[in-house]
Amino acid sequence: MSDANVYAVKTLTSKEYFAPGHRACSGCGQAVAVRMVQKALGRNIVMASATGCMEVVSSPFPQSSWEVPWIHVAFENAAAVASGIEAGLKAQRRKGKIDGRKITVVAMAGDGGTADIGLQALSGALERGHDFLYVCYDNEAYMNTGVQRSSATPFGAVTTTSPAGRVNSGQLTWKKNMMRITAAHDIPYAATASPSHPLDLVEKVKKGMETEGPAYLHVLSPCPPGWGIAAEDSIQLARLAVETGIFPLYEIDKGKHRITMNLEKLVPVKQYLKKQGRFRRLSPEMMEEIQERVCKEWQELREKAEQIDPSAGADEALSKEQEGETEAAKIFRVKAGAPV
Amino acid sequence: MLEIRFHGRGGQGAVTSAELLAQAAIEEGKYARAFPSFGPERRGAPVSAFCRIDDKPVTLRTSIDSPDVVVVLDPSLFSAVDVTRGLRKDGSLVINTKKEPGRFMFHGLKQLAAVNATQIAQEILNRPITNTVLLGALVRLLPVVKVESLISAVQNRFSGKIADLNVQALERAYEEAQIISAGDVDIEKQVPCFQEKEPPEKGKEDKPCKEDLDYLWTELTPGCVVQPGSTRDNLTGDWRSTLPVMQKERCIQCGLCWAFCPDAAQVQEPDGFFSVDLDYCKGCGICAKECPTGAIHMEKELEL
Repeated sequence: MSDANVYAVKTLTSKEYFAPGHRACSGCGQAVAVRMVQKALGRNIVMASATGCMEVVSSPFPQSSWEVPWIHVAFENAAAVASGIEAGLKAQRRKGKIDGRKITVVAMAGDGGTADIGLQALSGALERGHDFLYVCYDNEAYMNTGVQRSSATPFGAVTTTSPAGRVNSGQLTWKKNMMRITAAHDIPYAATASPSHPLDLVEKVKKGMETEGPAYLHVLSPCPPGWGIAAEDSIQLARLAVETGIFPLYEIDKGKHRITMNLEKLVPVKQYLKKQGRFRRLSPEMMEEIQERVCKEWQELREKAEQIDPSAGADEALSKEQEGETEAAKIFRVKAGAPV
Repeated sequence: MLEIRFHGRGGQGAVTSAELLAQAAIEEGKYARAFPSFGPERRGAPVSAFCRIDDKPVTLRTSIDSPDVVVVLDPSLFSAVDVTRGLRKDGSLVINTKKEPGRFMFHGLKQLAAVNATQIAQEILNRPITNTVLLGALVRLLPVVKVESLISAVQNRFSGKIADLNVQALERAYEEAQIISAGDVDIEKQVPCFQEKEPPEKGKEDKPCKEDLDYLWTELTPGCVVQPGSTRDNLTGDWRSTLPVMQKERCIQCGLCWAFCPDAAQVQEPDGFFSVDLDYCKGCGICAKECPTGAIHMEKELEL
């Protein structure tokens, strides 16, 4: 692998569309993700943002962190408002009131605003086929109000409304699979991304923008206070989530599954879980249960990806190419999140 | 009834200090009630907490608007929040400052206790959590409760080493707190020094004001449209307790520190190296952790 990937993060624009001075907690993984997504989106966009952490930290009246047109809407209707914006732009363009240049419509929400409260609006917008990009920043609970469980909270995680007790050690249900739900709408593009892999994330945002019709992006956003981790660890945890297979990076492009961050061997989930305060009360049996489920889902994903796109030969060529690289170059490649 | 209001930042323990004080009072057979007031939960955001102590049951559950005592846990709050709002005449103030305490006196203030709590907390607890430190200064100023009952409240709340360290911090603050009474110094100021407005710089007279101002609905812009990127006025650098330090010899200018910074506080200089924008860096340490060559390390920030 060439050194290009080492320095590739600098190919991102140095312009900040998400201004500093926002009130996100120190070490906020979501703020890192938002910054990267905004860099990829550029300035020809209109955004609708549901209530949530990012809305609260970025727009305390009379200030705003956004350097793009940005509308704060209620918890449940980010996708509905984005639909309206898209229809409005279309009508204005037809009447010749604005020029023909492409304006991307973006909706953003947290996991609560996507998987719980905003699911009906999202489903409606996907089904109607509006040309927009929906970005879900998933920090796996309602962090803004003080860590209450959402349907995206993973199995075994402690929140204030799924506390650990004598019998249970946290959330009893499994994380809602938003990727499968959105893909079931037969939308042209859906993908997962993580701020620990910036190049992969940027590529997916750009793909989502270029897609005609609805695109869905699910971004993992580590939350230091909510996950019980140190502020400095948030990016490392995001990377571990990818490497353990808990949050695999893949895309569904016109129905074709493709794993964008291929893992030859999964890191044991224990390494990811042990670092977090919210999983402190997990029993070894539960950890085993999580490991089994992760392996099973990873296998299913691989089968889906291979069934449709048998590119085993490409993998082999790639691994040969990687053998020649130095240890340092490998670290850079992993840290810069170069796509496979 | 004695009414005490605590001002802190999320994570500094203002809520805990109000609760500890109430616990100590209850232990002495008094009646007390403590509760916090905060917006969305964030580390570093201004928080207030209230404590009422009385000889008869306390039934009031409202926030305290005319306190007898105000305790300020963080020096950066003076410019962010009106901490002396509604403070009663002949009230008392307990503050965390490294500055000379006399300058904080003003007409109508009966007494003041000042302690360099951030330094004490850094030295003993190894983090800038100043709640128990200021409680030490508070009981030195006003014997609201006995020191012993406060210590036992701390020991009940925390356990093991953390309890010991907090007791140590509390005792040290009790020793070190500087007390100033109204008769001791010549008071010139009519209002607290932090309320005095500096004359506005030329051309900046009409700058948008701080978030704590009240707005009339008639002053709002249609649709509440605000200036893009205007949070740049809000310098988050004072949240920081550790500071990233870069060794240029080891830096290969890969840009990962810049890419992974949540606050866009790593800025590339014309020579290609990255420097930290101290106005916005919150000291999270992601850049130090993610630097592939170990060129960045975090140092304690003592000049808070």
